[in-house]
Amino acid sequence: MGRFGFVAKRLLQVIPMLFGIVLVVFMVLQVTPGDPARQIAGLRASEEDLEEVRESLGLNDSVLEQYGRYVGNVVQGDLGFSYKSRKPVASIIGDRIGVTIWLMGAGLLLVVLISVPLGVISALRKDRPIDHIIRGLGLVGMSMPAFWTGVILLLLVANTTGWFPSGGFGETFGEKAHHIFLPALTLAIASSPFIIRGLRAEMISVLESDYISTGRSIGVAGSRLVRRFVLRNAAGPGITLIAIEAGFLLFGAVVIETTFALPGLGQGLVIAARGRDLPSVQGK
Amino acid sequence: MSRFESFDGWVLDSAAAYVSYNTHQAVIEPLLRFAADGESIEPGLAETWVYDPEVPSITFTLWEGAAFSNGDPVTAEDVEFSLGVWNEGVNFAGSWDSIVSVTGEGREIVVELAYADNTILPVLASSISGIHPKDFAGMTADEYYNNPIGAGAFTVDEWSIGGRIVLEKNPNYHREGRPYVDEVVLEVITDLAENQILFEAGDIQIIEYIAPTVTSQYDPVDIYVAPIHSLEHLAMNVLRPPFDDQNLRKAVAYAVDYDAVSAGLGGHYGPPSGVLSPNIWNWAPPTEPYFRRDLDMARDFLAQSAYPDGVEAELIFDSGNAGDVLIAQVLQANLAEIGITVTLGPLETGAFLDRAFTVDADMTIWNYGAISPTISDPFIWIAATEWLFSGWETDTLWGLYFVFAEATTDEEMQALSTEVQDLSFTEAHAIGIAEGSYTHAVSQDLTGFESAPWGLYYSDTIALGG
Amino acid sequence: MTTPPSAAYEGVPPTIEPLEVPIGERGLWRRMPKKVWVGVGIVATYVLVALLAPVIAPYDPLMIDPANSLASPSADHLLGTDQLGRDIFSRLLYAARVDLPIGFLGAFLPAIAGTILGALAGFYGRWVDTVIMRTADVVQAFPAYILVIVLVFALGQGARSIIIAFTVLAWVVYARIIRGEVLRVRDLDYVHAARVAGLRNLRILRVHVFPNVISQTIVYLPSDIVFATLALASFSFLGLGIPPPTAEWGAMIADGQPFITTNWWFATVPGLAIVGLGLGLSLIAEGFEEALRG
Repeated sequence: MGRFGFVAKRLLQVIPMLFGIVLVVFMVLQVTPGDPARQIAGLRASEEDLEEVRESLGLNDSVLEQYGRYVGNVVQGDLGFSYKSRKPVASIIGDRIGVTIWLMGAGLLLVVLISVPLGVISALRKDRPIDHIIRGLGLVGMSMPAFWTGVILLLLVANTTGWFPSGGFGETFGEKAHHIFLPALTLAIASSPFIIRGLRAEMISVLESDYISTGRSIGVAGSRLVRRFVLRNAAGPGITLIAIEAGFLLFGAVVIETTFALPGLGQGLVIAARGRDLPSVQGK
Repeated sequence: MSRFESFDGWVLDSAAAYVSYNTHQAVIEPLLRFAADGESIEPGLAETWVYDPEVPSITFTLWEGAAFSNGDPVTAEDVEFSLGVWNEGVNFAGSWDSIVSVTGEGREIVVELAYADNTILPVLASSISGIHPKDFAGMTADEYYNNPIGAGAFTVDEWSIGGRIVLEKNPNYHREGRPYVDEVVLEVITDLAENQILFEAGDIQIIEYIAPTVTSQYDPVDIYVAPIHSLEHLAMNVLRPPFDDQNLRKAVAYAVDYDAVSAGLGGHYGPPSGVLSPNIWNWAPPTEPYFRRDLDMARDFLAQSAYPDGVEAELIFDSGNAGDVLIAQVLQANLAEIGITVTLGPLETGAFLDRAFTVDADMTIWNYGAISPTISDPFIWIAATEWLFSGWETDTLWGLYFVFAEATTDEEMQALSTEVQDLSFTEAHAIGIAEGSYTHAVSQDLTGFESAPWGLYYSDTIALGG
Repeated sequence: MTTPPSAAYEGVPPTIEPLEVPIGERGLWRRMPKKVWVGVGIVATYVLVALLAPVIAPYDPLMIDPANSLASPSADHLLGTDQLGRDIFSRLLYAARVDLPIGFLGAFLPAIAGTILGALAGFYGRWVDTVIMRTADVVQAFPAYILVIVLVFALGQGARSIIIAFTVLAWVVYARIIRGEVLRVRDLDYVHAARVAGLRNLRILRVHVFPNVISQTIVYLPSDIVFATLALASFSFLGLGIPPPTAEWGAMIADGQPFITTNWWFATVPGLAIVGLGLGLSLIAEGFEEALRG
């Protein structure tokens, strides 16, 4: 089987898994307290009104029926309407996903900008003072709760210098880049230590391998050696690490979007979950 | 401009957050408005109106040029259509029951009533009575609620639930010169510290409904304090032990340290005067001074109760409400002093409302304020919540409400207020535990900001520079 | 929002390289780098503080005094007071009694569950392996944050829900590491010999396989405690963790955040407490790895 076949097979395996996940989320949301009808109908609704709302939304049908209907709609590309705003869930996601992509993109960019130089220096100067400093900072960075880092950055940077707006999201590219900087930096501080560590280990093992010694012995200059052989060989595993890191960034996005008041998917999820706006939660 | 709560969307009837009312009013303006004192009514789409209780009817005269943002003039047909929409709502449908018909021509609109109704003008001034264009200007309901059109001072440029809302000046607005600003941008920023940093940096000019816990962090000149209106309350479940015991309830009422509750809340709060939100039409205090802290009396009542050695109880509250989280901890400490062990139950808003409305907890705290300026509004609310979740019978209360609707003098209406307050004092099933002002942070760069006691303000009166 | 839990709050794929030195080897402790001992010292201090909090703390962490709220640090209140006038220093000390046990349990329980399941999957193979590892796939594909929210909604706020959520999410990492290790060890000569000698499977597992694979778990554990503590703080910060009035570092940061511009120490110090603990544990983890990987 070629590479294409392999990918296709993996994708096929993902489909039943997605159905399973949706089903579990569905069932758990069913047993959790909090009546969506109350949230939709409003505080002053009578019991009859609530019943009417439940009936009209099909909340009285069995879980399996509701699930079947939901999946049926999703397959047709319809994620449903938010119970509360009557907005299509797809459009809510559309409104918000841009912000999250910005945050993730800028976060990843900063991660790369921070980790690659530090990882390389750390490996080249293995066990020298600079290596110890970088690794020590890494340990501290790893131990900092992301939301706390955000608060501290707000206090130290946004509040005292006024350099960066501390919340919201602008309109133009420049404004957006400006707004996204502190949240992205928070993300980068939380994730870079792992990348630096991985990159360092990878580089060291390449540096100590035979062909580098050979290169050195035949007189390839040091910096060229690093560029041509070491980085290239360490890049593969580094990229894998960063790709895995993207998953972490997604989780971080939930916390960081809340801290920095960014109207992204993570924040929307929290709002929807609090309001029992089921289609919105499931859509995400 | 920043707000704390998230916007509920454009379905007027189902919005629960105060902040939604502000935005609805700015776009889908009703015929009338409330004045900032909370007691009088001002022109909305209607420039003048005459209420004749004898006929009974109301005759409105619209402003010259009152038109929807798509250019269509506002007519009686739009009002009639809107009435139909209002009456489909599940929350407030009964509010317009006295209206028999809507007719009229040109700028004149005649609303005929089945009976004289003291409550109808305030209802028509509420954001729930916003005027929609007939047949949603040709859209389906879902389309319309995504792209709402009204005759208010602003049009909607961009909006989302819990996200940013951009309102643009409505160039066709009927009132000369208004609105004074071209654009209103509302960001939802739930983080309290961040709001303050942005406000002080001048990035935002208004913060709606500042949490009482942080008002002290602001320069007092930036804080707009509305008349006292917000009421924090505690309900005890009378449907089951232990709080079916009146003496135990009174023991609790005297054990609460009301000063500590207000201090814990911070901001502009003080001890309560009763169970009804003050500073609205025909509010009146209870006959006797309301509860205050008196540990000796609390212990006496406890000794007379079926639980002289104390008891355990659960107190539920909305964990999203910073003030209630603090109050719950104060109450827990206060009640421990007389031997009542309180378990705290912080619940997500959805779960909280579920348990509150099914009267499924021993004790419940929450807060409320009115949304229209007569005392009948709190009447309806405390009845709809079975006396704010205590499970106390509501027949008496509804009886009082119907007497109220037909009362003709202020004295009669105030006597009914007092009767409700006195019931809270003698039964102690639902008691006020603190009352205070809704506050907004308003930059010194703005003029013309005014808000009603319950915090409603009008975006079209605000101007830059001052 | 589909995030593998390992990456969800750990960010790093488990290393499946074999250890060069089994954990029981003599002389190993002497070869431990200094940083391990520094780390142990830090963590021991935290444990001591937690144990002795009632003795050291100047105030009852729950005693309110609203008239004296948000006080600045003074001789009476070393770190000032919170919104309800409670002593922040005392709350900081008492919080160790909440965060440490939950952090440890939140790492130990998944480690135990994952180790057992991973060992079973590796040793028995076939349908046992399929069931366990497919379950692991589903858990990994699960949006971690949604699962925690949902569990907290369903079980109510509190330590129990948090620990259950951690266990449900984090066992997978251990199961994968251990399964890989068991597969490697299973085919070693002496295990083969034991099998030929007619020892029963369970006994082989217990006597020969377990001691060899357990060191993998131990290397991974300290960093996992860090992540569990961080995650607990994050959930408390989002209002899904330990309910009030209990003192907990994440919740204290959330309490103090609105006052960051005036009472900056309020939110900062509990954060430093978390960083310190994390640093101690990370040092241990790194040292272990260096010593064991040679």
